[in-house]
Amino acid sequence: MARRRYTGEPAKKVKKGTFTRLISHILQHKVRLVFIAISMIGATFVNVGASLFLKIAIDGYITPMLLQDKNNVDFEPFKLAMLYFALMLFIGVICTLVYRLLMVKLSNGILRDIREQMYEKMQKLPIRYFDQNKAGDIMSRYTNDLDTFRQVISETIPQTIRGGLTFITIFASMLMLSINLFIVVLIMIIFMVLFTRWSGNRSLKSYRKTQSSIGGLNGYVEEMVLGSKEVKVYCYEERNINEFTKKNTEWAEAVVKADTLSNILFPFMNSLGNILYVMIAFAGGTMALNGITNYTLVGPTVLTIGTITSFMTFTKTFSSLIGELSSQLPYLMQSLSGAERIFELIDTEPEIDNGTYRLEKIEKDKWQWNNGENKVPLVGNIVLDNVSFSYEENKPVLKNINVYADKGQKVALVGATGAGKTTITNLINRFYEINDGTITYDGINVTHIKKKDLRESLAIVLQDVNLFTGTIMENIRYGKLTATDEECIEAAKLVYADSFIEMLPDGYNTVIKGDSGSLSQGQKQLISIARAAVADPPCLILDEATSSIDTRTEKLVQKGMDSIMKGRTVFIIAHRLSTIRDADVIMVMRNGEIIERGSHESLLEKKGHYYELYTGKVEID
Amino acid sequence: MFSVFKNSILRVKKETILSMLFILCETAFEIVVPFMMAKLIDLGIESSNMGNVYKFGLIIIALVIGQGLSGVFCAVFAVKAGTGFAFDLRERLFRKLQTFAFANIDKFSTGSLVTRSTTDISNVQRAFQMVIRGAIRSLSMCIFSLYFAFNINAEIAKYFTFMIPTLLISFIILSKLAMPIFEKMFTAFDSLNNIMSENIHGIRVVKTFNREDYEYAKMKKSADDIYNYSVKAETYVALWDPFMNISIYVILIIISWIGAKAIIASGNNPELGLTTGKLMSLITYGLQMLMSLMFMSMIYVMLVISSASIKRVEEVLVEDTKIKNPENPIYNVDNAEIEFKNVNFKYKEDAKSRVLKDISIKINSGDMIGIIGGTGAGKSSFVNLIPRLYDVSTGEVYVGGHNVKEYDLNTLRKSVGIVLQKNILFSGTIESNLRFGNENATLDEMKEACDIACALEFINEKPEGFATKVEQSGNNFSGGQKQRLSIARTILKKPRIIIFDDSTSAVDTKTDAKIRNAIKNKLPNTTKIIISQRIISLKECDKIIVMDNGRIIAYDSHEKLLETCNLYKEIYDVQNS
Repeated sequence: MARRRYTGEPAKKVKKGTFTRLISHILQHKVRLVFIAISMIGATFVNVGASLFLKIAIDGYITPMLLQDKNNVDFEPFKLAMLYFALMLFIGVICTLVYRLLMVKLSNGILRDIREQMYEKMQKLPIRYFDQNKAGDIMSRYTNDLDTFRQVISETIPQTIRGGLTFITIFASMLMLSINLFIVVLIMIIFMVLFTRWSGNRSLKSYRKTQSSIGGLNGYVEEMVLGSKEVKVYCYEERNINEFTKKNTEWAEAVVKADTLSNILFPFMNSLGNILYVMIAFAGGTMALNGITNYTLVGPTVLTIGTITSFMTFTKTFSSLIGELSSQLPYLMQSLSGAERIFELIDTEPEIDNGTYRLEKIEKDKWQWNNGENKVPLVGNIVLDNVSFSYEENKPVLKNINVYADKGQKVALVGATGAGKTTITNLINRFYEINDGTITYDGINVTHIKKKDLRESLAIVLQDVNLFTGTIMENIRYGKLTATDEECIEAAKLVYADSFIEMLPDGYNTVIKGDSGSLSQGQKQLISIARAAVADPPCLILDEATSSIDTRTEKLVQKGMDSIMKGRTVFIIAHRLSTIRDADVIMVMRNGEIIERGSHESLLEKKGHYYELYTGKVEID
Repeated sequence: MFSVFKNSILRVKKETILSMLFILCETAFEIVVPFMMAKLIDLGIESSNMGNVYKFGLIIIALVIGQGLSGVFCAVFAVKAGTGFAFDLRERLFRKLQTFAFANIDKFSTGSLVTRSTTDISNVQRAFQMVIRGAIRSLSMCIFSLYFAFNINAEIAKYFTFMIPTLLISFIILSKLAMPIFEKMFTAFDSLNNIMSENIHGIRVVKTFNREDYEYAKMKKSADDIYNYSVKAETYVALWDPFMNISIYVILIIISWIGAKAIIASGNNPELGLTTGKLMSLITYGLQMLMSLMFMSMIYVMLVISSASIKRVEEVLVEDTKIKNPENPIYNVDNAEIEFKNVNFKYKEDAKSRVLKDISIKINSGDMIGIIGGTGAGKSSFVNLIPRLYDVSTGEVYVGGHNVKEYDLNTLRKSVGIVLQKNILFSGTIESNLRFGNENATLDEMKEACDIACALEFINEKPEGFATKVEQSGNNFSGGQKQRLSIARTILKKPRIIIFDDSTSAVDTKTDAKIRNAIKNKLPNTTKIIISQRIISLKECDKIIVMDNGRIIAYDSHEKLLETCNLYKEIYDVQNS
């Protein structure tokens, strides 16, 4: 009865194989499936049998009993029949129970497996995937698509199978009872199927329209709610309401159109089913009264009252089944597109990682690279040799970049937005793969280093801080899971985060949410620097790591930062040039090229691009 | 719980009532059909009377057509009612959101408000439709079935009534057991979504620190929770199904047994009592009644599941707007003077420490005032009180000689322009974003405002100029460009007081200076308040407020502050070393 709701986008052509793949997921649970199949068939037979019960009771027992002497009727055979019948029903109930319970476990188990499989896979996807797909899109695979997936597995497929089984059973039973009457049914059924298909297609179309208008409406609401502070500040409320009402009206009109069509279908089909019922009575009555031969699969018989009544019961179930099955089909297609998107994620190429060099500890603070044959001590020399890179073909972002960073050096990257500074840092730890040139780490090509170990040796602090739901302590410890509380606090003290953390109601145990509004951007940046400090890597990349920290605090943080940077190779990207004056080398970038390099003083003397940036003649952002 | 939805329901009163009436008709027709069917069998087929077969057959067809028609009408009105209800609810919710003060928005967080006004409202709509169609239908079906069953044979029909309490009680027990688990399951879902969303957004952090396995373990725990809770909850639901089957079968057997005896007693004579036809009708009614009971229980489950959404929508609707228009508001701001008298401010009433402490200050009309101070010093909170984005906890804020609470909110906010720290542009064009500040702005006015904000230069560089498309939240513009557009948008409002909340932080120093000069020279009568981290941006202000830890510790000109204020001197030294 409950009508399926459209959750996904308009059904596209579903890839071949999606359905078989879906089925193969179900088929993995062989033992359970066998039990499910057996109990499902059992339950179906009993259900159909139950509707035959009346015929048997009337024809087989009540009518013969009526012929007996009224005062001396033998109820015993009837009693026995009822007992058998009760037993059969009981088995049916058990079957239903078994099948339902197993189904619950099966469908939830498959869902859990798929969910975990998707998530595990997602962790292995390259950064490119996350940059190219909107976060909301990826999320919707876990929410909307997984939900349609669930519907297919736990509702659509079992319902279709059960419906199909019932269909076959009833179909056979009807032919056993009367072929004559079945012809009447057939005519009506053809008519019903045609009608469902016609209206199904139409309502599918208008449903898609509804989907796009609800998308527009929700999109508008989302944008305006997220910008609600702007709305207040600019007194936009009045106009906002007008615009909203327009979109809301559009939506309501589309929905009325689509829903009316599909909701009319049910009463209409119901009436057709009832008319068919009467038709059978007419035909059956005429046949019985006129003694017309009743052909059945088991030969010609006489049409009895009981036969007519059972046939009528079957007719009802049969017609509602037809409606159900034919209306389910388009929804199945719709749901399959959700499954397809899930498989798409699972099938996405993972990050390439065929490095052989592993990082291993020799003694305290001493590490070495080891690929089984060669052992190279970890120093922290990073060299980019003639590196070229583009995110999209033919749109070079970096052109022939050469950078030499020796152990303990502080290399600053400076330039306007889009110059390619962040891109360079994304290449060193292999978030992206270079197109041309080589990047070496202690003389080893980075592609020969196991990614996990490469990243272990590099920590990045980003401008946009991402914290995770949990305590502040847990967030700092994210840098090194084995760090003790003392180590975390030590790191926080080093970067001047300790003072504000201690001021929070629960100190280091204050629980923050990932998008926590209770911390300022600057405070979040401090935590993220502490997180990197705890990780204690030989190489550090600071990408606008202190951009939201006020200058006075920044000065204080600087001391701590200096001690963190000491002895490490550091790449630093900063907007405030004052913070990078003491870098060993400053690379000035423009349009994917390094146009100037040198120390602060030498670059100022040069009076080139850096000089213009430093004196504020050119906008840096 | 539902009282807040009353207005939305009243709005579609006519459609709701009509659809309910038609549902009643539909079910009445549907119920009479088996009754007639019994007559058809008894008086027609059993009595070998083809005339009666046709007579009752035609009556039945007429009834069925009536049933179909009322079904169609019911669908038409039910859809109208359901959609109208949702339309009204959306509208009311959105209007309510427009009245929210910053404090209200903070309380819910914008993310949650988005969910409430999209997903949750759809759930409420579905629940409403379910109730007006499904509940009424099954309830009337249940009652009609019972009535007719009693009409046919009260002796047998009374067995039906035994079923009702049995079923209801067992259903209540089951749902009481299942509901808490469902709730736990939803919480597990929330936490899973949270973990996933944080993971997707922070994927660079995850990969940087090699925390893929750690994240997977975190997720697995939630996924396992979901599995365990859903299996448990769905098991309860699955138990319900065979239970219903048992009830149906028990009824079937009891009625057949008693029915058979009664038929024998009457000799299958309609005049004397029960007949086979009547027995069939009785069973049909019995099944129909049980089906509708089952359907009602389904609706109940649906309602409980959507009750979380209902509650969340309701919370927004009943939320008390923190800042309201006064009764006899002032519609005119006389001058651009600002005064704070003993102002204390906390974001939440139960917060321990005050964000602003004992602020008393006077700013003259037309002055240019700078504000400087560290993170968390209270700079933004201070300026937010002027256009009444928040209300003071104690003390008074005066604008143009009147307490801000006496002004009409629109008048006040139109007179006090503020460029927020975080700038959001809206999807549309540069022009539509500028008009956000002033609907009736002319092209010349827009050009002028953009000129002051130094935005004209980059707008002119774009091939489409003012018609350049802006993506959601202005993602296709750099931070500096967004800031300059926001400044232009505020200048277009022609406010008496204009506040820049660190709104040139991403603009280069040269442009920053240019903007400041333009503001100073082209807006001489406007009171200008500039929050900045850079002393160089504030040097030329008439006076500078130095804030620290929620207090104003100095208020003087740049030169004087260098002499008298240690903190100011310290900041100055840091920035000029």
